Amino acid sequence: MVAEKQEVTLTVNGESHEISVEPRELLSQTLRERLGYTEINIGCESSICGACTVRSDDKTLKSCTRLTVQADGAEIVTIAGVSEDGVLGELQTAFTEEHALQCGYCTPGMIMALDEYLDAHEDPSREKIRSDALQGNLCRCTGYENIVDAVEVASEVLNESSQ
Amino acid sequence: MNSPDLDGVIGESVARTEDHRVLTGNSTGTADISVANALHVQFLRSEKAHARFDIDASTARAHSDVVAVYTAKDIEESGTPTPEPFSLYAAPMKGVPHPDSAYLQQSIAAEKVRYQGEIIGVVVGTSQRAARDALNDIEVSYDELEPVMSTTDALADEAPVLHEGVSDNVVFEGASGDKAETAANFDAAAYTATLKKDPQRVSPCPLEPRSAIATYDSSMDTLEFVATTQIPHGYRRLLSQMLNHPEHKTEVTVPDMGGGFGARQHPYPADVLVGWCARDLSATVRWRATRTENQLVENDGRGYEGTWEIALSNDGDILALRSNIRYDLGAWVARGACGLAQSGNSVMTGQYDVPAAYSHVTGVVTNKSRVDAYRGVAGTEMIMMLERLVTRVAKKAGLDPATVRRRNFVEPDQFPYENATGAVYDSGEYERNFQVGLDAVEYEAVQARKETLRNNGRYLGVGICSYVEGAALGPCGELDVPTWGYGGVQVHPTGEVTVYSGGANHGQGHETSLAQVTATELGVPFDDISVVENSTKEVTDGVGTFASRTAALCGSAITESCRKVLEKGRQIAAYEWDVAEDAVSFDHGTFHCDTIEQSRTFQEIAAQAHMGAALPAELEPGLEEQTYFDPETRTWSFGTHIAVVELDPDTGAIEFHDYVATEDCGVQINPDIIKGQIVGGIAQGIGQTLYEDVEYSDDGTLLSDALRDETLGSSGGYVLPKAEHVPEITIKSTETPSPHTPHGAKGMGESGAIAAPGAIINAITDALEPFDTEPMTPPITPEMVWRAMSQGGAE
Amino acid sequence: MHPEEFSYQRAQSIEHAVELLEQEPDAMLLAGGHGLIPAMKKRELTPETVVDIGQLNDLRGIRRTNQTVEIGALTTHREVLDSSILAKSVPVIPQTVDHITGGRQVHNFATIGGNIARAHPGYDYEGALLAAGCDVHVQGPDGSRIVPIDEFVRGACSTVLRDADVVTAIEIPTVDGTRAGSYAKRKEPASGNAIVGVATDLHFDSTESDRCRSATIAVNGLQASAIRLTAVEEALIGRQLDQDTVEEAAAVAGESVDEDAVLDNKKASAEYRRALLDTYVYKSLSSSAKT
Repeated sequence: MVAEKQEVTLTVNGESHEISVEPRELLSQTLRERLGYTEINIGCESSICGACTVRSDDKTLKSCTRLTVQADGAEIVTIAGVSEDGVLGELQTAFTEEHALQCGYCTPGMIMALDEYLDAHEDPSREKIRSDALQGNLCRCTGYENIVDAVEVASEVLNESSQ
Repeated sequence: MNSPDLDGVIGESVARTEDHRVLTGNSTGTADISVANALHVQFLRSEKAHARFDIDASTARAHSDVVAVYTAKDIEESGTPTPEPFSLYAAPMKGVPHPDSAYLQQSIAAEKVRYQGEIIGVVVGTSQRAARDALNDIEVSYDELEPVMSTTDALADEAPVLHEGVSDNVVFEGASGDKAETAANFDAAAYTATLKKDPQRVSPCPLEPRSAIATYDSSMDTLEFVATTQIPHGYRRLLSQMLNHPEHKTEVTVPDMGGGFGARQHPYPADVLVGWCARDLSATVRWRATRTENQLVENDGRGYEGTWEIALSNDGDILALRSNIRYDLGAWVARGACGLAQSGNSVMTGQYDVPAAYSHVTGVVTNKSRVDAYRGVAGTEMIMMLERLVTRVAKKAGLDPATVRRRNFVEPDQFPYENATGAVYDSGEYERNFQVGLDAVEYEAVQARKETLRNNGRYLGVGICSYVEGAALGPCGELDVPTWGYGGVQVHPTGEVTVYSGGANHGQGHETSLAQVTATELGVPFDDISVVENSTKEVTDGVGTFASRTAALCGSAITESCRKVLEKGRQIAAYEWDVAEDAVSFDHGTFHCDTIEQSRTFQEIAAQAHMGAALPAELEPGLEEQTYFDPETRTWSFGTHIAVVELDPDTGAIEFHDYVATEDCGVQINPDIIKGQIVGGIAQGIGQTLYEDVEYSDDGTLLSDALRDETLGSSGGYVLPKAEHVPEITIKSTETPSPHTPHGAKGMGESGAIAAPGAIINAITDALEPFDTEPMTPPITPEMVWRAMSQGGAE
Repeated sequence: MHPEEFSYQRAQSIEHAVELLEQEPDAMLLAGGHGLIPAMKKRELTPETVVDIGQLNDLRGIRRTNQTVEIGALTTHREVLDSSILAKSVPVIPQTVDHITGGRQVHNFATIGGNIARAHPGYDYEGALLAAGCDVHVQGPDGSRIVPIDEFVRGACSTVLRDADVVTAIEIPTVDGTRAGSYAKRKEPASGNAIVGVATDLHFDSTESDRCRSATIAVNGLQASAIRLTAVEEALIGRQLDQDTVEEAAAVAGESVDEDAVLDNKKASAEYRRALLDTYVYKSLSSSAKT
């Protein structure tokens, strides 16, 4: 059985790519292996760890749970696309100031998910940060405490700047 | 040597140098590295736990995108030397011989498999997907044997024999301490308590799955690895030995790595075979594990079961401790696994001055994957059971558990203190640190609240766990492998500094903390310092990062090297000024003379050293020093964790009301990094206590191979704690310097994993006091708690 | 990690989707992908053809009709959570969807159609839909039909859907007066699925009225498929929802339960699951009563 390759166009961090992929190729595989966006990390095989989280047409997505052919025409943003010219945004700055990363493997996906959460929620409680904001991302190193701190700090900074 | 107005020195919570590249998406792990024309390996792994097998790879070989398929026979018959079997780094215990060589694993199974996941075939293809597809076409027939899935089964009469030549499935048997004296003290005791522990394995589960890339260049006869290891130089040495390739033509580099926790030290069978394939094919060959594969074969942690006992005098003095332990090693003995028994026994008396102790450990094989180091190692189980027993026997004697602890702590004037199993503790102020914890949790108040709430049908529990962490192994000679720390300091003519460390940073922040040490010693700005680790190409030698060693050992080596650098600088200055060397001092980045008005900056001296002119005859040009730091003893961090929980009688849910951790790891280089290590360890300890359990079926199939599993009737997957599972944690520190490291820093990093289980189990047990229940062993689920409360009969 | 090879077809319409499912060998539907893709990665599912309906906008959206609210099968959990129509007219649904695990990433892409077609006992939608009462619109080779929710699910991961059927919408009757709803869930820690999850749908004559006109309560996770707790429902009719009432109602939850059908497995024994039921009924009712 021949599974015909499909032509797909993806825009990633503003750069357009035209590629030809087997239907079974996962978006995470295309981004990482084919297009070199290795900031996307693969931590599991059951769509739970969230390390592969990107934004696709303004919605966060676990890129391991999407076929590339489904994403034809999508605009994808990775953590590399969130900081311009290497300048860290508020959430990323909070992450380093609060020591919210250790090995860093979960961080790219974590930042993408939290970024969207902060857009939608002002002044979340620590409990909500734990149960809602961090529901889709695992970390094995930090024990989460400093990540919660970073989200709180970033939320305050973002609220101030939007007033 | 304090430089309070310099930045980035010891004691500051400097934001980490490592962070920027992660946060901008520029972190690079092994699987991220692109190598043109690399071939991809996929392993055919045994589906059965215990079987003889036949294998036919001819159909797989015929795939157009498959370059080679190897079975054990192919490897044996090829021109490339067959890999040597694995070896062990230490005897199980002092005086216990090395296990039978039948227990040393080969990288690929030839005729018999002994655990699900054992490698039986290797496919090399032009892409990972191609190699994966070809696995489907390798034909295997299994002739199943009865699997042994517990130590009880392994030791039973007529048990199936896993390894020919060792009919009793026993790998080793040994003990620490004085059996007779311990028995006598138990006889003399007013109170004793006994607790059993059921077997439990946990999976270290770093978030990045294992990965390796090997390149063999036949024109240069060089073999280079990029891989997920915590010990690049040790990994190189072992691969060189096992692949029969000269060490000086073998290199290992470790890029950014997504966690290790002890499971990523020595090469695994997969790593050896990747290297072997590279040799055979004169190519670059690469492999990365899937999560499923990783769970199947990456070493599990813990594996202890047995009986622990404590003896107490009428006045509340701990008279003796005793344990009889069975240790499930898995089907093969992993390189470090046996030595962990000694390591565990060495901490069995915890912070207490106990006159007699005896611990007997029997290491046994089963048809499961291997057990080896995981954060806290056997010390976790020993401390967990010790602390449960201290509380239990205290209550039997009608004494407050905190009071009994205080009464038995080793006193400050007893250090260096040799415990009843021969470990020598360096320094400590146990009672002072303990009091900090009691104050932070408001011990008296919370006990009072507990009593009040009990009258209202609410069940609070307070649990204490005091621990020691024997960090930074040493001195040299204790094991069959080196235990020193390497630190080299190279001063550029500009005065900037490159530091070479034999450690292997993978989240611990060495690029930052070791730069802080250097900034403190040399008075050089933090930003002028680079730290290099993780490479046999760039760093002369090293022992790696595990057992909480880097700050104490590499940090000390770097400190000594810095001091040698300053010594040379003083000699250069003294020569120039024509004064005695002891008239030259150095501080705030400047050499100055105490007798005449002269000074030179560090940068000026560095430039002069580099030029090589105007130096005393006995000095060579350059400003670069290295040190192999051989510790006098291991360092001993300590502290106490106190957990306050409430149990819901209707659901058994365990809710944290408070969690206080006190830590003393001597002088703290970077307090934020230290807190991060503690909290991360606690999360893993919570995992072990309440959630995590490696689960095998009776036929030897690993059931917990996914982090999320929707199979009907399954347990749901191997639980990695989420943010909602970890409470808010309060951390307090005291600093009792180590007398054996130049800055007084001790190793730390495992304390959270070591102490959390004991604290939480003690808290749960305390909350269940009104109910007549049997003691539990981890993982403790809400259902277990509910059963205890609904069937135990509350008052 | 790599699914087996398959051929990929994009459906141009619902009819086309049905046609493809009928005609292509061993074909499966792809909507949000959050059920199918993880299974394909583990090679537990190996369809030869994947029929992607993800672009069929006719299957999206939440709209009011005269007497009902209709949710298109491709409506994501996010869209449900953000819907002011549902918040007002069928609050039990967004209240329940809020507890679907996996994080924002999953809520953005997983769909109601995919969720109920899978009918996993630990999933959350089924109980909410059973409580709210709804009809499932299905289109198949013989045309379209409507299946009431209590006939739609047959058992654990089993529905009346045949190979070429496509769920197109879920239609929920609205009620007069006001409606309160909530979901109380005991999660299994790894997968986040329900050990028990209780959905309550309460109807009041008006916002001023504190007497419950009627109630429907359903529980996920207790058995192979969601069940109604009619004994609890009866205990609430016409009652003021104070603590005593809620306690009394929760206490009779067991009367609606066939003890032999309660799931008994590694996640939880039947005994424990049954014990959790009363508590979670209480929690869910208390929560609804406050809204």
